Amino acid sequence: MSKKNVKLMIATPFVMLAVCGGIIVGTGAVPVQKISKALEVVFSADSSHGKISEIKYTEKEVESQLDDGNKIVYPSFGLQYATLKIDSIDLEAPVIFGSSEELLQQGVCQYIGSVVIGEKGNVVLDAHCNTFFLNLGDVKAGDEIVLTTSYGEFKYKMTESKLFKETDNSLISPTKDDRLTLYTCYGNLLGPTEDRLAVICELVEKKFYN
Amino acid sequence: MKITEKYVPNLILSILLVFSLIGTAAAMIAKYYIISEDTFMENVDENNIAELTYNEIEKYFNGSEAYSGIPADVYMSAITKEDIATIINIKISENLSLITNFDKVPMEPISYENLERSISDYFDKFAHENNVEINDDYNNQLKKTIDTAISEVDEFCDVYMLDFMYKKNIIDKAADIYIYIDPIMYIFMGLSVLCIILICGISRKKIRNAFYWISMSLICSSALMLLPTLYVKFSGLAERFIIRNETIYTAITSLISKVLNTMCVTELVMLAVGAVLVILCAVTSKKDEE
Repeated sequence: MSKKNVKLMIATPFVMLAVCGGIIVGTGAVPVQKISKALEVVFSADSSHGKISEIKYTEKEVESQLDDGNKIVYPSFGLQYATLKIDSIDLEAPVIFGSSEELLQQGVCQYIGSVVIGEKGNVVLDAHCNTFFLNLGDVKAGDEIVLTTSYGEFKYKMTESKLFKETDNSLISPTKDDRLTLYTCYGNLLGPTEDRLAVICELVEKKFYN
Repeated sequence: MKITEKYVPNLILSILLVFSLIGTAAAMIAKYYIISEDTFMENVDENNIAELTYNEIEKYFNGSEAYSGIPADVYMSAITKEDIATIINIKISENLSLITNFDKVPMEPISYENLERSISDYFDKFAHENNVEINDDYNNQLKKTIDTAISEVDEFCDVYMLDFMYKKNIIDKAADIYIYIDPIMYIFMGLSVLCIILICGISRKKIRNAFYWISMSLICSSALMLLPTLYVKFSGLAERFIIRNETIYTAITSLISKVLNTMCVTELVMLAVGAVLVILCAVTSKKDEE
């Protein structure tokens, strides 16, 4: 076999790879581009955590100044940033910003569509009826409810309780007045229910630490 | 090797053979391995998916006690790990049969009788202890609780999200594509055989040259498939799967890994066959020279 032939035999697989690779890249570019966006979404999770169970909510806080000069802290989702105290039903529970099944097991959760404690408007907190809000129905008009954060203490007085349906958002919507709305599932039967009990409280005292 | 007369036709046929081998291998892996109940079910067994699912269901019902007032034991005493494995397998069979047979194969319906009885008994006990009147509200709430429990168990057992894909018409679309898999496979197989015959025909006087060209096609086709497969396997793409539910994540990422491993083995076998043919060609060539 001549040297020329040997060289050609060695070069041939590289030529074939280059030609075939070029054809594949050329013909596959458009379809791959089409599905790559979908693949980017499907496989876009951060895999830096060894195990899924190790994924933690971020614990960053953002400090902000209100119009009246007082400072509050905007918590991130999943962060415990306050304590709820209702002496009349012997309740003291952590308040977590955001609500999910996992968080509801850890404390009273704040609806993220409501204002941060200390801001003007409706602070909406919920918890399960068989855990933290087991005795919510026993709170009477005039009972004191205290929310304590790292930046202040806020006292409320219970004004009324209302029953509403899960689909009715009127009680958890923003309000012009400063109020606290606590709600939980309501029913005298077992199983999931669409009925909710809301306890509405008005702000009577606010004390910022700054 | 007569370069001028035979090189170019052999090169063209070998390039054609590369694509037909890739097509044949891809279609065969898709038909006999990826769209296969055995692959899905083996993966469930190998990764203890049924047990993982059982634990997830238990965790869910433990959490639901906080608002439903029903202890997890009420549900979990009526479900076994074997039940969960059966439900998972039925879901795989039903949905894959939609792709391969274009129709749901009638299967033994999943029985939730024990679960229904357990919830009913607990409701009765609760009603008796708390003097709850058994009326329409009570019966509606009981039915709603049973339906919710069944639908939750059913959803947890959809570990490959096949039911979800069925609802989103993805299974139907896969079935539409699957129709072409047999013709594609046979066309590529036929083309491969034709290319091999033609290469052998051109090199009939020196059959070792045919070995050389066929081996080059095998090596090139395996390299072209192996490189992206290895990239996907070692880039950790599968681990970045967006759904972080532990059962679904484990089921899908382990299935992807299983398929990638099989593809690697297939491609390495093709590479090995190609290498053997090259060696044969070199050995016979050396003997001729001697």
